[in-house]
Amino acid sequence: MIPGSDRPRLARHVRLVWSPARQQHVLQLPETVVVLNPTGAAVLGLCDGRTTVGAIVDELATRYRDVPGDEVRLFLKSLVARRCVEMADD
Amino acid sequence: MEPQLIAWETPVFDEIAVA
Repeated sequence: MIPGSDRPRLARHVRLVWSPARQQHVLQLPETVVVLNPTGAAVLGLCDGRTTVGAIVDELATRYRDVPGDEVRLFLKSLVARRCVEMADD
Repeated sequence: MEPQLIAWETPVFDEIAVA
């Protein structure tokens, strides 16, 4: 599982954008579109390479009720596996 | 007054291949 001290960011070839056609946020990659639900977009909107996973969960908890940190970490882990998200180096 | 918190949904994504 991703440690709470890791600092995720979008990979260089990935852009987080609002899709007017879908009325959803999506990740744009060279040959893939990743459609996100609202909480997924909220998580990725906080992935700036400076904010730790723990701080991201804390920030989400100011907007949402009962944010399970494990769900946020699992979501990020899946996107790291797809090379959409990477962890910032120290 | 307490800010209104939004109900949490499990974050998910759906990958769509582009030719």
